[in-house]
Amino acid sequence: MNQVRAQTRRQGDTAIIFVEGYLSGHSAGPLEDAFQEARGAEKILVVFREGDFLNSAGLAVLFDLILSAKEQGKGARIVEPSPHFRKVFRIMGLTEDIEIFETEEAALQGW
Amino acid sequence: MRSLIQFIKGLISLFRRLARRLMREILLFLRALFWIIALGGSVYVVRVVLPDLIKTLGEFNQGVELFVGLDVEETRRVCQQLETREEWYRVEADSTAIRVDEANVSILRWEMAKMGFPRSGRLRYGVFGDTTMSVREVLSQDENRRALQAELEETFLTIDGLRRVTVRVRVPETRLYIEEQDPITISVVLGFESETRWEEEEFAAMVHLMRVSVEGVTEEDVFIEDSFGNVLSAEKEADALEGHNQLLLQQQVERALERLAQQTLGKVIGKDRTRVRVHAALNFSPADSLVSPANGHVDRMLRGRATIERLSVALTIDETKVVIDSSSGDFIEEQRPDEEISQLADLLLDVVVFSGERGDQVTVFPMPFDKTQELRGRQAAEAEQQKEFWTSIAINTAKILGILAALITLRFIIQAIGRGVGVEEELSALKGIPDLDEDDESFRTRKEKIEEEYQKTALLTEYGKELAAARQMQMGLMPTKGPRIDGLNVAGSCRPATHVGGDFFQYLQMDDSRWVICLADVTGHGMEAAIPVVMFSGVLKGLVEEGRDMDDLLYNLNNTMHGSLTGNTLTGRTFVCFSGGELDVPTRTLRLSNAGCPFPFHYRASTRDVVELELEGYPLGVRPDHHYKLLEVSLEVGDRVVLCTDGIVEAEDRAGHMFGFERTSYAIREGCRRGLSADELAEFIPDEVRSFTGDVDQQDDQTVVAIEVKG
Repeated sequence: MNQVRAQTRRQGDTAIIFVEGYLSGHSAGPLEDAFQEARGAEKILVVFREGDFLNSAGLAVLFDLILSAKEQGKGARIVEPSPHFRKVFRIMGLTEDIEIFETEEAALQGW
Repeated sequence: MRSLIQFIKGLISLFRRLARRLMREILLFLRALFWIIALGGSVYVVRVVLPDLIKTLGEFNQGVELFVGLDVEETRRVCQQLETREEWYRVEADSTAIRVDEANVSILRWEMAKMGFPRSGRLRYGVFGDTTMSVREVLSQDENRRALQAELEETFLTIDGLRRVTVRVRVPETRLYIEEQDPITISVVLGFESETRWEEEEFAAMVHLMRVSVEGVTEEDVFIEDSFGNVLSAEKEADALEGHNQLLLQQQVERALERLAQQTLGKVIGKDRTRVRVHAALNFSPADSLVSPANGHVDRMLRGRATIERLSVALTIDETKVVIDSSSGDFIEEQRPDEEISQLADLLLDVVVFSGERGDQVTVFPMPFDKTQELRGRQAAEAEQQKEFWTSIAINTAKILGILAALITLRFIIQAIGRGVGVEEELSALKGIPDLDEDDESFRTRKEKIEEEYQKTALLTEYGKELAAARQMQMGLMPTKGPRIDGLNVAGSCRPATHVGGDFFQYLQMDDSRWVICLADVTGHGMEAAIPVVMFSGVLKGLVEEGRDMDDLLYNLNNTMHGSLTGNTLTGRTFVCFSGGELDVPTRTLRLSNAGCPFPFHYRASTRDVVELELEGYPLGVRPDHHYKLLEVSLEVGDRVVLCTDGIVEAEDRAGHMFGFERTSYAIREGCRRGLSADELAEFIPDEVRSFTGDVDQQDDQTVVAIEVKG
């Protein structure tokens, strides 16, 4: 369960990172690699699946990666189908800087 | 070939000898360590423990005053009673005072009061000491009045059947003519255990004890009521009682407005730069009057019993301020612009809800406050404060790291010896098998395997012990019981996961009337979380002791955490989720803030429902210079506020379903509807989580803090 897979797909100037599994502080390596792979892209979309789990240390890694990308002038969005984790992102203030969507289509629309 | 075998055998033998010698050295080192600890302990006992013990024993033998100022006859009668009860006592040389064992003094005063003692004498409390000031002068000072109230409350809390006692001593302003002087009055609010019923004898004893505690107070000046507002003391003239209540209400309104104004202005221009005095004339026949505008807190305080007839407000303001000179960088004093003074006066009008139609008056007195000392000492004090602050954090962190290092080293040494002995014993047993040759290949393979297994087991044991020690240290940071706060009940619980998590909760007193009640969750587990928890706890305590308000506190905590945790190779990306509030006890107001924890839950007794107080914000340490939202919540009787960490909402059952926000909210609502106290709620919520998750291992710490307004 404590494993994460992260795959990157390029779509024009956007890098879409698909995440699967349990994102914790110790399992975040593949996500870091995926962000590294996406460093040439203008925009980064991180896509979580229903059923994925993020613990607080995993969230800390995600925050760090995504806010660093933002600071480098990249566009960043997240797809999170789980209402629970959408609320967690809101509680943690991430929605102040990053838009969260329910589906990949909605996130890519008009971006 | 044979000589090679001989050579290897010789080599093995040499290694064995070396190992034995090493073990002897280690044992010698351990012995030395033992003697160092023993010697240090002895010095500590002689220098610290013994003097304390001697002091305590000395105090015990002397006893404490039961009564003073007795006449000889009453001294004799009280002594007779004490002998009948087989109590230890001592009579002072002049026969006017009796001393008893400190542990029994409260209960003896109560029992004696029921028999009508003392008639000629009185009780002497610490605040009066040997001062030459009058009782009124002593009690006019807030700290003395509060000390006396606390002493009286302590006396009565020993009485069986009493759950809570609140004593308020009111000292009216001194008048020029004695005949116009209002008396000192004492109000007592009693909270009884559910099955306790007091008879007239008990009420009379309490009034009597109050009367003999404060010189000049008569039975008429003592008011006793229960926590539901029922008057319990002997019937008083209706007018006197009403007058007493009206005066109390007026005083409460004035103090509340003064505090609010002072706090608001203080945030703008700093503490101690203004003095606000409010006089509120109240109209106690609201039916006859028009609705009078009032501040929200005050309006709730008045509760339809009265309206504000007129306010007179005096604002004294410092007409100069200290600024940093742009050219020299020094602190200098400069005139505060008239426009700024006028804006501050306008702000004051808003806070007190000024009404010109009502005839309210506001007078502003700009005058220079003495800042000579401040200017001189400011730079030095700031530098000193910073130094002390960081020194304190460094010392505490170093202490903890030192203890951890010592524990790890000691355990490593002991484990190494244990491991060595274990391997030796097993190898001896192997050698005992007749058909096994020490040079045989299978012997060497088995030997390596045994050593490897021992190493693994020892390492796991070692790691487990380190984690247990870290968990114990983390639990030691949290209070074991709630603070004693008038009319409020605060409780918390932290159930650690099977491994060390990063949760903790704390109650910290800011000043006489304000507390910070909070919980925090440091991301990560194990040692990477345990050390930042200790550090965060120290920083939090330091900032609260500096008297920072909630918004300032969060701002500084965030910046400190950002500076200390990010980029640290030990902690990596460590953030701190924090939820907490500044509780203002007299106004029952909670100023809440939240940095990444689940939203605080507020159960409102009036609607019997729970609302989530939506306060979003980055965890501490994520972004520097971030201003966190604040929400001010007024608490009513029966209300509860519950804070929790994500270990509660994200606990999973065997099927992977989360307990979630909705179940958490439901559990809180049901608990509150059943009338659970804060202590009970703090246990009930994690119990509900446990019922939901069943036998699944707890993955994260589960922490709950509950605040309850008692009825």
